[in-house]
Amino acid sequence: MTLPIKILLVDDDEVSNYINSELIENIGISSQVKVCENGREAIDYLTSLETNENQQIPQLILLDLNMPEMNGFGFLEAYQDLPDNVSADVIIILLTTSISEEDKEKIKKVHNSEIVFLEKPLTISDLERIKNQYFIS
Amino acid sequence: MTPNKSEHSTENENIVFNSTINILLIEDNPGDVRYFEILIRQLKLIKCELKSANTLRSGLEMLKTNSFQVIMLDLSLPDSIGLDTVSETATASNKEIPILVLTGNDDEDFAVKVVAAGAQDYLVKGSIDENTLSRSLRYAIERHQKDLTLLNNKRAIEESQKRLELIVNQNKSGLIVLNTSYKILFVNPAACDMLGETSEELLNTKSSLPEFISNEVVYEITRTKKKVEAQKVDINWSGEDCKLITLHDITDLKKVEQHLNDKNSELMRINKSLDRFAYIISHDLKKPVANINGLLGLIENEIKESVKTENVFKRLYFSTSQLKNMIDNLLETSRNPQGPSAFELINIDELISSILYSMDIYLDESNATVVKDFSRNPIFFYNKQDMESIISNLISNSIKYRKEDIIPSIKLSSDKTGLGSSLTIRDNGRGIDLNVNRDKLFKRGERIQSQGVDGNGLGLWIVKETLDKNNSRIEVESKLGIGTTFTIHF
Repeated sequence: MTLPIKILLVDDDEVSNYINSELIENIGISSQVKVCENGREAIDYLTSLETNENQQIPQLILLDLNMPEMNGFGFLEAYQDLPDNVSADVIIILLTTSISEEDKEKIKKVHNSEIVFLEKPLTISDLERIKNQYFIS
Repeated sequence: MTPNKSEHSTENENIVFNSTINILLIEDNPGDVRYFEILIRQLKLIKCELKSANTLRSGLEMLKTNSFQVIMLDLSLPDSIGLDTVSETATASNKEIPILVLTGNDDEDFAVKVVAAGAQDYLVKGSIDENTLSRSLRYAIERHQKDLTLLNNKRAIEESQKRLELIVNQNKSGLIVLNTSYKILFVNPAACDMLGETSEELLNTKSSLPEFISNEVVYEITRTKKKVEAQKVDINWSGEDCKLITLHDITDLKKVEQHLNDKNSELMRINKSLDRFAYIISHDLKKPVANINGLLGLIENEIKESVKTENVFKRLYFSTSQLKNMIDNLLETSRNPQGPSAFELINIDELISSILYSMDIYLDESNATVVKDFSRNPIFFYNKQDMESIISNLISNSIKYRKEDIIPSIKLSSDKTGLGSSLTIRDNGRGIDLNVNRDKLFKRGERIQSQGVDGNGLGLWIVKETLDKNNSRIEVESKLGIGTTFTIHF
C-alpha cells in the first residue's frame, strides 16, 4: 500500500486520540484521520464507506480495547462480516494499556489477517516501524 | 471379741466356724440362762461365747457395744412380748445378725410368722439339746449369710439397672427397638423427642420409619422437621429377633453445614468481584499513566513546533487528576471507615473552579456548560479533600450520564440551611428511575442505567462513604429523561 493513507482511530479516550493524532501528523503518513469513539460507531462508519465511492477506505486502524457499547473484541468480531473491499489490505493495530496472552490468542482466533499488538502510549518510533514494515512512500 | 468376717464375704463361711461365735442371749428366766450357758460350753463342733441380758432394752443396748454373731431371743420378756420382740431386735441389729427365737410354742404357722418378722429359726424350749442348738446356730448363721449375699446381689443388680436406665434415658441419641413386623417394642425419651410423639403413643404401634434404613441417608421426620441419621443393628430382645435403631439428630449440624455453604458461596462471589475489581482498578490506573507518557513523548521528541504546548499541558493536568481520583477511589474502597477529617474554611467558588479546570478537557469534549451560583453561601467549613472528591464524582457522573441529543448543562449552587450548609448539583441528563433504583444508587459496584457509559460503579458509593464519615447527608431527586439533582447537606 502506498502512502499517504487514511487512518481510523477507534478509542473513546480524548487524550489518547489527541496523542495519536499529533504523532500521525508529525510522521506525515496520513491524508486523513477519522476518529470513532467506540466499536459500533467504527463498524457503522466502515459499512457506510462500502456504498460511498468518494470516500477513501482507511488502510490503518488504531483500535482500543476498552470502550463503551462495543469494545475492541466486539469490533473485531463484527469486522469479519464487513464486505471485502472495505476490509481487505487493512492493518489493524490493537493499542492497549495491557493485554494478556489469553486475550491475544482469543483475538488471533477471531481476526484472520494481520494484527499488531502495541502497548500505550503510541510512540513516534512505533509509527516509524509500522510505516517501514507495511507501507511504501 | 473375734471380728465376724462372715458379713463381708461368702468365701469366708468356713472361717466363721473356726473362730469363736459370740452369742447374745436375751432371756429373763435365770434357769434357762444357766441351762444354755452349760449347753454351749458342751458344744463340740463350734466354739461359742455367751453373754446374756434379761430385758429387751438391756439386750439391745449390749448390741451397741459388743459384736455378736447370733442373737438368741426369748419371746416373752418383761418389756416385750411376741413377734414385736423379733422385729424390734431385727431393726436394732440392722438385720445384720441372725436371730434364733426361743419359744414354748411349736406351731408351724407361728414359725412362718417368726421368720417373716425377721428371725432365721426358732427353738422350742424343752427340746433343745446339744445337737439341735449346734445345728440351729450354724444354720442361722449360714442362712443369714446367704440372705446377706442375696441382698448385696440384689442391690448390685438394682444399681446396675439404674445405670443402664440412665444411659438409655439420658442418651441424646434416639433408641428404638423394632420387631420383624416393625412394631415398636421400646423407645427412649430422645427418640420420642425426635419423632415428636410420647412413648405411650409410640409403643406397640407400627413404626413409620422407613423399612430399609441406610447409614448414608439423612431422614427428615415429618412431625418435628428434625433431620436424623439412622443406624440399625440386629439384636435378640428377650428371645425375639429385633432391630435396634439408633437415631442421631443432625438438624443443627445440617444448619451449620448450610450456613458454611452459604458463606463459602458468598466468599467465592466476593473473590470473583474482587478479581474483577482489581482488573478494573489496574486498567483505570494504567490509562492515565499511559496518556501522561504519551503527552510527555510529544513534548520530548522535538514535535514542539507542531504541538501547541497549552493543549498538551491541559491534558497532562487532566490525566494527573484522573490518576489522583482513581487512587483516591482505590484508597477509599480499601480502607476502614474512620472518623471525620480535619475541617477548614473553604471558598466554594475557588474550589469548584479548580475542579472544573482539571476537568476542562472532559467538559469540552461533551460540550458541557456549567453555571455557578454561590451567592447565598460562599464559604463552607469542611474537609477540602473530601469536598473535592464528592464534587468531582458528582460532576463526573452528570457528564457521563448526559442525554445524547442535548447540550449537557450542570448547575451548581449553595445555600444555608438552619445551622448547616447545602450544595446542589443539578443536571439535565438522562435521569434516574428512583422507584426502581433508589436502594442501589449508592451501593458499591452497582451500575444502573449504564448503557454506553464508561465507569466502575464506585463514584456514588465513595460520595456516600465520605459523607457518612463526616456525618453529612445527601438527597437525590430525579426524573427519567429530564435530569437529576443531588443536594448535599454539610
